[in-house]
Amino acid sequence: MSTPARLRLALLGLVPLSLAFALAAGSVALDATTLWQVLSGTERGLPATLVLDLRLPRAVSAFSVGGLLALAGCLLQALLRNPLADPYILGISGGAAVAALGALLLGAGSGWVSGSAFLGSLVAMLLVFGLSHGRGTWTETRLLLTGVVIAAGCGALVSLMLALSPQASLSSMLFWLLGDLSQGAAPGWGLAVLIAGLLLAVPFARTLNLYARGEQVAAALGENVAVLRYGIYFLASLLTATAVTLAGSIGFVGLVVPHLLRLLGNTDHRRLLPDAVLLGGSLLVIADTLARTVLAPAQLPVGVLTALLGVPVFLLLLARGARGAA
Amino acid sequence: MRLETRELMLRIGHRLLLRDLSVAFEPGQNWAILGANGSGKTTLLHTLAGLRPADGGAVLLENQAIRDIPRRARAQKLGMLFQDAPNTFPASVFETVLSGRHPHLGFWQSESAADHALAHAALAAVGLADFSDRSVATLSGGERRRVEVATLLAQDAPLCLLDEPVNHLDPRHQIALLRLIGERARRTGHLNLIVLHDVNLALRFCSHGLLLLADGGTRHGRLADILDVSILETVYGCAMREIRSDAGRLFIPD
Repeated sequence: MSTPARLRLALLGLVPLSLAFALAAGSVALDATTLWQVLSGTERGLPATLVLDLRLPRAVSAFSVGGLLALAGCLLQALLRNPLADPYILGISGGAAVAALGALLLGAGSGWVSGSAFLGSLVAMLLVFGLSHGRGTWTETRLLLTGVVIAAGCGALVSLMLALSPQASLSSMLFWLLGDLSQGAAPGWGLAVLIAGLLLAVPFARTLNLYARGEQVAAALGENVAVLRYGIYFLASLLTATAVTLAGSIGFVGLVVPHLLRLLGNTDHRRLLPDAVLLGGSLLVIADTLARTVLAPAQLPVGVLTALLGVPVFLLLLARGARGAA
Repeated sequence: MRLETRELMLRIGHRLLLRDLSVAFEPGQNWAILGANGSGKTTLLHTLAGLRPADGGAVLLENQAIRDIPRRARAQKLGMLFQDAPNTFPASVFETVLSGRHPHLGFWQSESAADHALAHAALAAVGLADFSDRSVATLSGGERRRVEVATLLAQDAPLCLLDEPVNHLDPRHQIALLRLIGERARRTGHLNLIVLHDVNLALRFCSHGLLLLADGGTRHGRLADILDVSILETVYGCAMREIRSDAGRLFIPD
């Protein structure tokens, strides 16, 4: 079996394993038998409530957010032809953060916070798009710089709000900023957007391969790069906005998952995009489960854990890859 | 394939690069495009490929305005080798060469066994048959250049525009590559336009030449007829010398 096929198989195994871990672990740990009884419908007591009402929605929402971020990361790295690009680089999370923190500052409920986060990310997306578009010239450098500057501006506003906010709302604000899945509102939406996004992106994966090699290369091989550019930008932005709305800004997943897969030899976007969704999703499910169990009853912000887990794994693979290339 | 320009004009900003170029590139010919740095060779090539609009006049491929031809159909007829191709992300040699088949595939199609065979043949033609599983990032500059040429060969377009194809190549591979490309023009309907900096390579492998002058003017025609010391001195702005040898005429900077 070829390396990419084996990788796909491993990822397809990782998904149910990570979900089982998320469903079984927690304040009341469930063994495999109980978990199976719950899932097959024979157990209807407290374990069923725990699994079906609390842990499953949260796991689904973690998987969706992880998948969304990884997919958006792949798309933006190809669009900007920049390996440092992540879903937040163009200021989408910044816009969401300003709006969400504003809502928290006004004492709004979680529904309002999510709503304003989504709105904020859309405003940031259109702002960056409008400013970088200028008079017809739209280079990736200009887009990147505009995005980074808008993100920096949002960062300043966020700091200002943190400095001005009363002690009581500080911790909920910090949790939002670091990424938090405990709200777990409407996990179905995240999954639906993820599936729709993947179905939209995969048919263009062969074109993305060209695009990642340069806009002119893609144009010379018969692609309409202007249309493609807008398509990738808006799709990646909407995926990111959905993820940020569901869980705040969880770092690292969108940057590192595409690179992890590339380092494992997955360079064709036709494989990379679906694999990134599988890996990003399961990684975030595992990270979120650890975040709520490691120091239970305290919950850690999941963004801290994704970074703590991701950094050593990534460095290890990078070192291995460097040796392999030498 | 027949490519033609009518009163073509090119500018970058306010600077005039080219004016009133009316020339017909006929099938079976190998054209060398010669000019000093910044004389507009690359801009001309991109305009001829339809990748940028002309600033005046027209470019016609088979009597049809180049930018009116649907993109995919155009890419099946016209292939382009860029001066340098970035490789930000890792990719295998074979994957890269296979991407040349892109314009021949429908939206929902994947590469067939025939496409794989073409890509392997293209790699073999540039002497990189054993490199297909290597990562492009591990190759030398010259090997990378040959991978790009193999990608162009896999695209299998009858009209090829090549921007300094022998960049980074050692003398042996320069000759091998230009011979390979030049011989393609002997196939029915094939035509090459090659930007070169080496006048002697141009004389050896190209039948026709287009010289870009600093004032936006041009000379074009059979290369052997238009090349002499005085025109080369005008083109490059330096003293040149002609040497007659048993290998034919050679031009060197004095």
